[in-house]
Amino acid sequence: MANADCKNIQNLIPLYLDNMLSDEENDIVRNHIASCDACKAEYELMASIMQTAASLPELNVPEGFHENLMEKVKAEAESKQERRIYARSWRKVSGFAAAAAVIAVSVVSFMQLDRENNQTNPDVYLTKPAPVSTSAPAAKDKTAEHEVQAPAQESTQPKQKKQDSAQKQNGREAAPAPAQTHQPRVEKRSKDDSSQAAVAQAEAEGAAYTPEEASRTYQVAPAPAEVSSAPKQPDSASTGGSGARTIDEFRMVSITVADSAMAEAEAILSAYGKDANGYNVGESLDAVIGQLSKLEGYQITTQISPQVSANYIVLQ
Amino acid sequence: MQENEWIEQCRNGDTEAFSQLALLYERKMLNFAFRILRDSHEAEDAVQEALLKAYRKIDTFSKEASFSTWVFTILNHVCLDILRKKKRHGEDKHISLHQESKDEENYEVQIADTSPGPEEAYRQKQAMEAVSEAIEHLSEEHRIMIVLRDVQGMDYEQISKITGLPPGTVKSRINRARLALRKILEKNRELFS
Repeated sequence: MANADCKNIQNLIPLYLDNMLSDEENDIVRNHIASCDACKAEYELMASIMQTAASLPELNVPEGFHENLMEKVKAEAESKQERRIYARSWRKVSGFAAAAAVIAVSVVSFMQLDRENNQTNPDVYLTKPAPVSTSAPAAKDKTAEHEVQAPAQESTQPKQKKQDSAQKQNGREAAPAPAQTHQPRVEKRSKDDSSQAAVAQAEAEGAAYTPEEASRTYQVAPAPAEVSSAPKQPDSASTGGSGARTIDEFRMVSITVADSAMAEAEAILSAYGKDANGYNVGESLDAVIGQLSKLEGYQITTQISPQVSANYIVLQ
Repeated sequence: MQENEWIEQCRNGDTEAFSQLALLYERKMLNFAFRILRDSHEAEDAVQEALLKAYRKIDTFSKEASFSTWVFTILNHVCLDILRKKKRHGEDKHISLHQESKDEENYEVQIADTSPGPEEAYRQKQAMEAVSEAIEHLSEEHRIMIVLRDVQGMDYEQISKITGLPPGTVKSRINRARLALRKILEKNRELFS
């Protein structure tokens, strides 16, 4: 037999011994070994080596090996048990915490909804009323009066509208609480007690606010395009105002804070988009006002304006 | 089957059940690790580590598989990790098992008692030493194949699962490993006639 054939056959002997060749290969190797002494010797050598390997002496398990292992296993079991107990406790705690969070969010949402639906009491936005001062208001009154009187021409229209609506009301049955639709009105909110008299005067004049004015100044708002069919109610910040707002009305709120609090105020408002009208705070108006009201030097003026399509805050 | 019951009890945290399982496989695992790592102390550490891992992961053991195959798979990974670390630190110098294991009390000779005469017994002992030493000199890849197939007697499918190699690769590696072992033992050919 050629050496090349023997070489190939000898390379197949390891798998032949395990019966891992194909049937055809098995036949070839078997037939060759039967007729070739060299390959037969090779086959016997390989078989003997494998048999010897299978008979190799084994190490005994050393003394203490198993005990040492079981100590580690028991320690692991205790640790696992502690982790289970901890995980169970944590699940309970986090479950309670999650439930509490859901309840808290629900309460806040409910309160928010309640505020938005509150149509009769804008006083909810007023800061804590400050004690009335007797001396300061006089000076402030003059300033406010001066500023209010400047656009005197414009102030006649809201007055006229009040009269018109009063006449209408006289000729009608008592109407349901009117919606405050198009008549801009001013709500003065300030921690400054000296401006309360100015507020009352400004309200009487039907003054309005524009973003260009300081928070304590009042201007008459431009006349609305159409008159609301609902009777107009006089509005006063001190009495809490009257008339409900429709959801179509949006507010422009001017807020002033002390210089030292300006950075913080800007940080609060930076979460909202800003355009020519100011910071568009949308449905978060009350929440943002709540945050800003805690800052030093906080003063607020609100105008309900048909010119804007969302709630805006202007930081002065 | 008793083994399945023990496994189930282990899942419930029964350490005594795990003790029984460990007793079933400790010795075979120890000898596998010993042949692969060529160091009895490292082999003991490797087996303890592998069995502890098996206890930790007992929940992941699938009843459809063989526990023996599963636990040897873990041991194989542990041994390979040790070999890699030794290589990185340059500690993979060959140490003869014969120098390590001069204390013959550690060995239990498995030669049949019907062996014919002292000469034959001596020849067989010599042959075993030669094969044992030849296995040490194999590459890591070939050594694992010879130990799993020829020393431990595992079948090709088990070896495929333990090593994670495809069956075709297992087949070709066993073939090459045996040819390599045969080549090393050429000088001791007369011991196997």
